[in-house]
Amino acid sequence: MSDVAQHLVNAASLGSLYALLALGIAVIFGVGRILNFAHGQLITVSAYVLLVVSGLPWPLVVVLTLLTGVVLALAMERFAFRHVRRADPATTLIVGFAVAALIQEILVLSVGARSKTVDFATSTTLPVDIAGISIPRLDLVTMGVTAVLLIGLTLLLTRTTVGIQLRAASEDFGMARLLGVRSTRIVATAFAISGLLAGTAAVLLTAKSGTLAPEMGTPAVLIGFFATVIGGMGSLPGAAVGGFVLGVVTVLMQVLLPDGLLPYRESLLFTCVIAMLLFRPQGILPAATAGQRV
Amino acid sequence: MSMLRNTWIRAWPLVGLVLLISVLSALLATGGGEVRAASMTGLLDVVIVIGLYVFVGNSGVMSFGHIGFVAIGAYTSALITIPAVSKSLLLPDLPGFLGSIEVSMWASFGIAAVVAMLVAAVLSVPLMRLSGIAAAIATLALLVIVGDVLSNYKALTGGQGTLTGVPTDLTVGSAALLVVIALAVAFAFQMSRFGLRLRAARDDEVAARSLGIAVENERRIAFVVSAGISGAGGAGYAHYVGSLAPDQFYLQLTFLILAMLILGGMYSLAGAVLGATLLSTLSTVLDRLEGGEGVGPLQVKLPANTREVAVAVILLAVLFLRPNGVMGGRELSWPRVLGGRRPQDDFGPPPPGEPAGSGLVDGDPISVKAG
Repeated sequence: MSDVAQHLVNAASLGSLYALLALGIAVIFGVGRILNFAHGQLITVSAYVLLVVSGLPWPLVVVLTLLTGVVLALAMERFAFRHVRRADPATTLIVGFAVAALIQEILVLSVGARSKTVDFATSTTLPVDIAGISIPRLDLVTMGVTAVLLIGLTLLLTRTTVGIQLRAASEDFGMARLLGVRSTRIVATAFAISGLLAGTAAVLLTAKSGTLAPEMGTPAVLIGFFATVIGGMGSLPGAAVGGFVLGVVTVLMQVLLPDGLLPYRESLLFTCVIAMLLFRPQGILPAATAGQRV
Repeated sequence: MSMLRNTWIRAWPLVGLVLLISVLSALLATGGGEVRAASMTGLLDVVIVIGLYVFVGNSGVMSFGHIGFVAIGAYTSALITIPAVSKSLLLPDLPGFLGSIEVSMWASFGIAAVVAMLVAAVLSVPLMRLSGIAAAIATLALLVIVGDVLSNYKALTGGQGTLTGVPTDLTVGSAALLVVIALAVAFAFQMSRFGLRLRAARDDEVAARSLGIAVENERRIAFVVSAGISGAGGAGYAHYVGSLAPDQFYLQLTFLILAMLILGGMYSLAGAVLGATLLSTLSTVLDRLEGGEGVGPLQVKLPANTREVAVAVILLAVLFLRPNGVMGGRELSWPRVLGGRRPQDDFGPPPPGEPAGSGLVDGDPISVKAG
């Protein structure tokens, strides 16, 4: 019984982390129809900044890491994606791919290709006992942070002018502009939120694994991409649900797969994704505007 | 006489490219060993880019998964051409007939293409049900899955290590022949009714559907054809380098091949060939300079990874300044001194600001909302 509860906690924790990754992708796609492949590099660079400042008191480390994510995301928008504002999603996807490659190679040039270890928040991996289940504190933190961010994002989107403008822009960008929403500012806002989410993911990922590598962002962005696809492109609740589903399925496979198949769990996970799309190509919670109007 | 002339002009986009490739290869084949190696790399890049182009250029849907087909082709070809004696040492656990089979290089190219096409045919069923942009993401899943299986299925691929012993019997001539075959297949496809229907759907999906074009099916056909070319390109690659490892076929190669296609212009065959030739040359030059080997009179040592940074910068510059690439979607046109017409936009890309797939068009809500 406690085994089952333990796995449930693992699943919820991993699901929360994946939901964070997916939200970072979805918030930009929803507003700007931009799929930012370089989201992974936002995470990587933030994590390396964390490594540099890890001697400081931890709240300062967290703030600086988040700030890196936000600043870098804004810079990406300003210097790369703004130039292709009117291009189709495929072009912006390639722009993201190129930005990602550029940042990654520059990172390799400056810090080397080897992975590094970082001594940050190691105490959070120690477990606490709650009702007979031992839960690593980090899992609790991950779930808590995701919950807070989800609530915060929901409040922002429903209660503030900026949030309403964001939603309007993701429903119908042209119409929102006609009604006076400043498109440049609103896209930049979406990027800033995405950067904040990337910084958060960087903190949680680094605390979890304790190691950094220049390519650490790529698996993260892949998870985020697939989560938004299975959740429903352009839908924020869909992205969160998609991330959660991916996390739960991953943990389920770790528990249930026979040893011989364990190395293939990534393949099996993505095969599940493709198979699911066979039955529900629009995703779990499709955005209202995602349907083709033919 | 004039009919013959018209046929000639119609086939010129193909004939011109074939001539270009043949002359270039014939010249390079006379060079030293390093020149020949570089030209084989270039020719194989051209084949792989053509493979990607057949799907991306005709359908307007991006694919990140084609390097998966290149990998499938390379490993398939390797498994059926490595001499049986070495196979029993390298891969003692090979299942069934694979342990003893030995075919010629060209037969292995054909088989590699067929295997890649079969995989593509199965995968295209779910993938092409997705809208354009979601399909592009899902093709990434394909790349990850292929990489994962290659690194873990030790009995078949030797795992993450290097699979050696593939006969390195590719010559500049056979690489050039492979390019010509790929060109012919790609040109025949884009001039066929399948290609034309798919291009119609790329330029205006709503109009194409209203004319009864089953867009998903047309995309599936193109996906399978392009996987075949990519697989054959991978097979050629195996016979050029002689040893394979799973990480040769991942995001880095995907990025390089995509950059080649976009540099030349992803909506024309001429663009695919030109982009691959230009970027492959640059990439070889930078690679040598990074290794400190120098190129002719140029004897400077560049830091490692210069090549990757340069490719990324070039790609961004092209996307910002000339998003339709060097060729801008045009095919080679019959030289005007010989009475050719002005270049036509028959096969041009969709007009700027109007995305190939569905999507929100900034400032033009009516076209999206109509219907």
